[in-house]
Amino acid sequence: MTLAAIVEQMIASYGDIQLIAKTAIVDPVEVLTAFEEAKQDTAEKVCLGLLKQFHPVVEPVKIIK
Amino acid sequence: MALPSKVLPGFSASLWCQSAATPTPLTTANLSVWAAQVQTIVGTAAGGTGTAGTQLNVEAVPAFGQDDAMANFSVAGSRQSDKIPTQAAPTSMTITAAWNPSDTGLLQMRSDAYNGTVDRTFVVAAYDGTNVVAYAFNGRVSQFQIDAQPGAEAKAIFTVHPRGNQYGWSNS
Repeated sequence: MTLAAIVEQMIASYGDIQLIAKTAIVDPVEVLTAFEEAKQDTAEKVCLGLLKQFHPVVEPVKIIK
Repeated sequence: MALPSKVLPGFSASLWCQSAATPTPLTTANLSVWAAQVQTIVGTAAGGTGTAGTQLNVEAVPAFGQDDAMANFSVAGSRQSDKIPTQAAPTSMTITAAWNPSDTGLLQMRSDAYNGTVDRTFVVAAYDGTNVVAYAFNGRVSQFQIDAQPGAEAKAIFTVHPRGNQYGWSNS
């Protein structure tokens, strides 16, 4: 399922959108980019915000040898 | 605009609902969107546009949010037990209003209560004169009663049961 399809499903939902966000399989970088591009005060921004919250971009830990 | 940044008095909150007889409630995501969504339900008196909403003239806005729910676990030998939050129900709102038999909002609540299956978006709006913070939820009405005692003005009492997970916060 693409990110756009997941967001569309969340926008149309009358259910628990936090649960949809939590269980979605998404690329955190793609979510972050889409979140930053989304217009403020829209349902899309709300949904991408939840996805960003549950799928944060994890910075790789630098190993010092 | 931004969130109100001050301690709000209780009476600054007002209760609004969609005005249509058979409304299409806002979706869960839109309950968190002020512009063109929640804003249309809240009237101009509380910082909205009010094109799709009506105010419920209630005596006071009751507590809203979610109920407590927890499981208590105990471990042998440990001094204290542990309380873990579990699945909580939304808080039901029992509302008292002065009974005006012609009030549009109260007639709508009476109709919803007799029907029992009408989902409607309600909004609690707290307004400081400039900014609004809104708690929007979808709910159904039940237990509509008229209390017409001789010693006081007649009251209309009804309960709004919010639907699970269908709530959102927004601000102007």
